[in-house]
Amino acid sequence: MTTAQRIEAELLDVRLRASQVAHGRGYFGIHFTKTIVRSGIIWGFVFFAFVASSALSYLSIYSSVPQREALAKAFGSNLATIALFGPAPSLNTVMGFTQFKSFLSVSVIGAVWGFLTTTKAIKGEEESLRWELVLSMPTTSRRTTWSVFRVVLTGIFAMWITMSLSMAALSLDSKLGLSFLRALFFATASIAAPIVFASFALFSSQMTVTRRQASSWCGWLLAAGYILRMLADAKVGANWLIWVSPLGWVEKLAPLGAPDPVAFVPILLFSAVAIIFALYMAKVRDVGSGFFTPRGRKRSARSEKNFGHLGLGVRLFGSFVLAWLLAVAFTGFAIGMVADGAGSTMAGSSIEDVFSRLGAKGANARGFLGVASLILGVMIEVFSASLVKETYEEEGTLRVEHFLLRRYRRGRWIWERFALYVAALALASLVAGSALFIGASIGGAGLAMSTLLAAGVNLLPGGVFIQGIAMAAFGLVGSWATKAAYLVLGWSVLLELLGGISPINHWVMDSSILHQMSPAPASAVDWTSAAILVVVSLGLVALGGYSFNSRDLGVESHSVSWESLRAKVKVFGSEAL
Amino acid sequence: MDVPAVRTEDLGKSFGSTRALVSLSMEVTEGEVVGFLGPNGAGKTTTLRLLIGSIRPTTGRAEIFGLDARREAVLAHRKLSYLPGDTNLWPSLTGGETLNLLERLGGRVDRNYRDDLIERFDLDPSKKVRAYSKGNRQKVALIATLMARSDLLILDEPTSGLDPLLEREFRNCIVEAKLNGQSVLLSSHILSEVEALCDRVGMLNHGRLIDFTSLKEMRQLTSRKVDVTFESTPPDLSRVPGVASIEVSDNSVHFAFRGRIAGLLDLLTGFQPESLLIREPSLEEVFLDLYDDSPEDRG
Repeated sequence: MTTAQRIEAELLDVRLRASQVAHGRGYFGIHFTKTIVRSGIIWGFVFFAFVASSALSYLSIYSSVPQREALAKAFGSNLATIALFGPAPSLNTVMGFTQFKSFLSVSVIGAVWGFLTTTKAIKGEEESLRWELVLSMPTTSRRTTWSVFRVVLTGIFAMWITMSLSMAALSLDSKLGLSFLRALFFATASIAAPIVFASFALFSSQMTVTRRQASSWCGWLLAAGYILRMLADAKVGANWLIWVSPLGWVEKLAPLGAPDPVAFVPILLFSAVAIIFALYMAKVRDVGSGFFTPRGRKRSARSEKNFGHLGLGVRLFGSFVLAWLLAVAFTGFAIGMVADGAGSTMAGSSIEDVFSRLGAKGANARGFLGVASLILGVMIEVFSASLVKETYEEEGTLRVEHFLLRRYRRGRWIWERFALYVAALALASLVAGSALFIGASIGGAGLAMSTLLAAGVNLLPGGVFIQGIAMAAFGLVGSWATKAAYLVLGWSVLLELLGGISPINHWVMDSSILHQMSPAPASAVDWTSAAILVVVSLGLVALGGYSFNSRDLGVESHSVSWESLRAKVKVFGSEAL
Repeated sequence: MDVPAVRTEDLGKSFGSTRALVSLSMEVTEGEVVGFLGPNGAGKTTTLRLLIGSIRPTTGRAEIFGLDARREAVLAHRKLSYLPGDTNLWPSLTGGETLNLLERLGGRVDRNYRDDLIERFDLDPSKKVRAYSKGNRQKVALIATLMARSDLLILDEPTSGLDPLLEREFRNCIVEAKLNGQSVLLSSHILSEVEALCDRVGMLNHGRLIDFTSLKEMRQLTSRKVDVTFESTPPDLSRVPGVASIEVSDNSVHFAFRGRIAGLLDLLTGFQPESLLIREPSLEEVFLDLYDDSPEDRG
């Protein structure tokens, strides 16, 4: 199916659905409810699983009173960890620990879910021009905006129901000390951040032109809110800052600790004002515009910026890369900061065995960082896989033809893309190492900068290998690239998770990219393995370049027959297929 | 002997079981403007994409100035500029940045001509592509194609989204290109555009070239339109060889005629007509006539 045919079919589908608006059923209600409610339920389960695993692992790892006291002593008054995860007044209890470990994380992820879902439903539809089509039906922009937001609220409600039911079930375990009412309150407090940020996203979608801009506004509010509550919790004489931060209000709810119900007031007030203002803006603004619509300036192409392929890459996904670098830096910093305390509390606990199975020996900061840096490794690989989408989009939209018609060989285009992505990944691995060092230094782990920078660089080959796999798949069929990248990544993460629980045959474990990485700094970086992984990746990119060169460009080529695959294999001298 | 700008030999392309193009053989000479006409799905875009090497031919071959369109694509691309049918540009770049980028990638641009085109097409290059209307996006793509002054211009639906004034400007650009010795191969649905610009026209249907000739020859091969008015009831002309599509109203009769005009005149004079008008068919009539005659449409 060509792009034109696909768009035509999509428009027909939209028209059919849009016609239902006139009968009071609501296009967006039909279009989104299923997706958003399903997403709300899934995330509700994920949050519950996170909370339950925190509580249950505490019971098994810190089974004795001395162990719990040691934990409380290590982290209870540690300003660094309090700034990161919130106050920890009762780490010697199951609920105190669970609140400390999971509540802020759940709230932050919920906030991101809330704003991304809202901006996608509103600005995403507007950018695709489907919004305009719906507005041509007997409805108004304000009514449509509200109907979309109602669907988002329904998704949040589904999340609350899921969490309430599962938390209520968890409260049946008497060893946890979780009452039924506390369980319900935790579920309620957990949806506070999604409500606040979904409301703000509704507002930012009216103020900005693109979905990316609307999401950026929310991202900045989240970052600012997080920093403000960090400053408030760090006891630097600015406790009042907690009341000017949306995440501070959420933190004040402390559902498993000492709740402050007053925090509901700013949460509800902020959300209500954002919604009312957004609905007002929806009525008065033009579709496709925002309050901050850029104005034209000069009428000369010569005064516009001039850049090539690499510059275009920086321009297209520079902000995306920056966001990932910030996320990697933050995670590396957080891991580094808790390394010393976490390492010392591992001694004698069951987690030491788990870490040992994953290759990190020693109940100290090095041992902890050896496994915890796997989190950074996964992040860098997810980052790598998410970059692949850009490559596919360039072909799917046929923008790649602009290059190939201008002196570019297909192979060169692929190699330049690869180089660009590897540069971004290298930057991310250096940021990871640096952030680990800064965090570890502040946390008192006392590890050398060169050691932790090497641990960061150790994460790079995994990301490069994901690119290699993706490029090889892209060469065959454009749409396979992202799937192949995530398949390899998912398989590796699965093996690491299972490998932590019970021993797995080493041949199977070797098929995980994460397993190919040394658990640095718990052990020395294996530069030979890293080099082999990079060389294999280069081979995969070369293979991708070769296949790309001999296939059709564009959407038609995304359906591949066995005959064409067989023809490709024959080129390599095999009749295997 | 001059190397043709475009030469195809038994060129064909299948997508699975769908035959998008069947055995196309043709040539476009230097300085010639050739148009491709055909309904949706006729194979116009497939032909153009085969010529630029984006897709591989299932049969035959295509050459651009003697270079294999697929195997020597990079060399061939030095001599051509292509305007795709679907204009996909980078939404976050301004129009000016897009032109600069494409100039840099291509490495051959007449900057004065580019600035002239920006003026003529009334483009504001400081706006982001995402803020442009469809017509303005088309302007950016058109300017990017024309600014290189390539030896061969391959244009897929070039005036899609342009208003009539800009369509006229586009036609001027193509006339200038022809005077400059550039060859042009364009596909279009707009018959008047093809009629105004093209030296020769190729008509495609269901992937087959059903005619490829000059408009003059094409008109001669198709039916002429005849309007005759008599003093009284018109005679029955339905049995006259070459006469078709007869419409009678009062004392007038309109029909299509294919054959010797002298014979028709002799016949009609015998009935003493009051007035007689014989005209050449418009391109639209030629187009419809040829499609009515094509084997696929006869079933």
